[in-house]
Amino acid sequence: MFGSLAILGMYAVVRSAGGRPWLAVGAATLMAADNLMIVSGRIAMLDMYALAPMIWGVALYLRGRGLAAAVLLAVADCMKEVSVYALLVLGLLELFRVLLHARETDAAQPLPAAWAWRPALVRLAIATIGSSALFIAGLWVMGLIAPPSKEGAQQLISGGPLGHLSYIINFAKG
Amino acid sequence: MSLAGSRRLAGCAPLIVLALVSALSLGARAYQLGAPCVSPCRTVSDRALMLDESVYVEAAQVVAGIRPPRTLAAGLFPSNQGRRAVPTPTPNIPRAPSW
Repeated sequence: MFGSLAILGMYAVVRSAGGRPWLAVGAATLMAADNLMIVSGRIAMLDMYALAPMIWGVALYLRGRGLAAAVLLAVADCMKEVSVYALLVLGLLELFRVLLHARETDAAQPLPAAWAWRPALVRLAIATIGSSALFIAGLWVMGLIAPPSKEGAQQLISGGPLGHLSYIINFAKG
Repeated sequence: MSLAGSRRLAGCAPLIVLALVSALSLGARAYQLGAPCVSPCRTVSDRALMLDESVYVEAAQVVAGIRPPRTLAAGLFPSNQGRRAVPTPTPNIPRAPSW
């Protein structure tokens, strides 16, 4: 089900980015046919649960729904921490938009004012700070439901959500 | 069909194709979802888990108060106690993985 949501999300992302309907269908079809997409959608791993809210979060961001995007990106972060890469994508997107806006030369067809650096920074800050704060809140709630433990050590992780986050980062570093 | 009807259908065509693609994709992902299964495949516990699936599935079972049938969490699980039967967390209680 989450795989289907992710495929529909790809359609939404392309449409939100200004793509035509058939282009969005093409992107969704390519995604649906991807081998890893099929495999990950069949097994009980976290990747697909993270991907669906991640991609819908990006779609909402592109539609100017920064707070809703932050909520979905936080949900994705709670599913799997690699979802934070979505913020990197959004940062690059805003960077390219700002550069294009700064180099704008065609006065007859001006680029959207929202592509200027100040609104871009505000949008990105809302998504980044909002999703980070909600991610921490999500870790706290999940910790209440199922206290996190250290891998293989049968030992609880102390320090609340921040301690949990610190453990996750150190675990990812190896 | 009238011209207006044809245009409306043409406008909906991408969404119809998207629905078709989604349905086909869902079918492909659901096809033989129970495989692989240890022969003879009789019970739920005969169905094999791959990669880290066992960790996530068993963690979900523990959160839901279901005793995992075997493997990782089985060694951690106190005798026949669901999660609700354990009032306070102790190092002997299985917990959701933190990664």
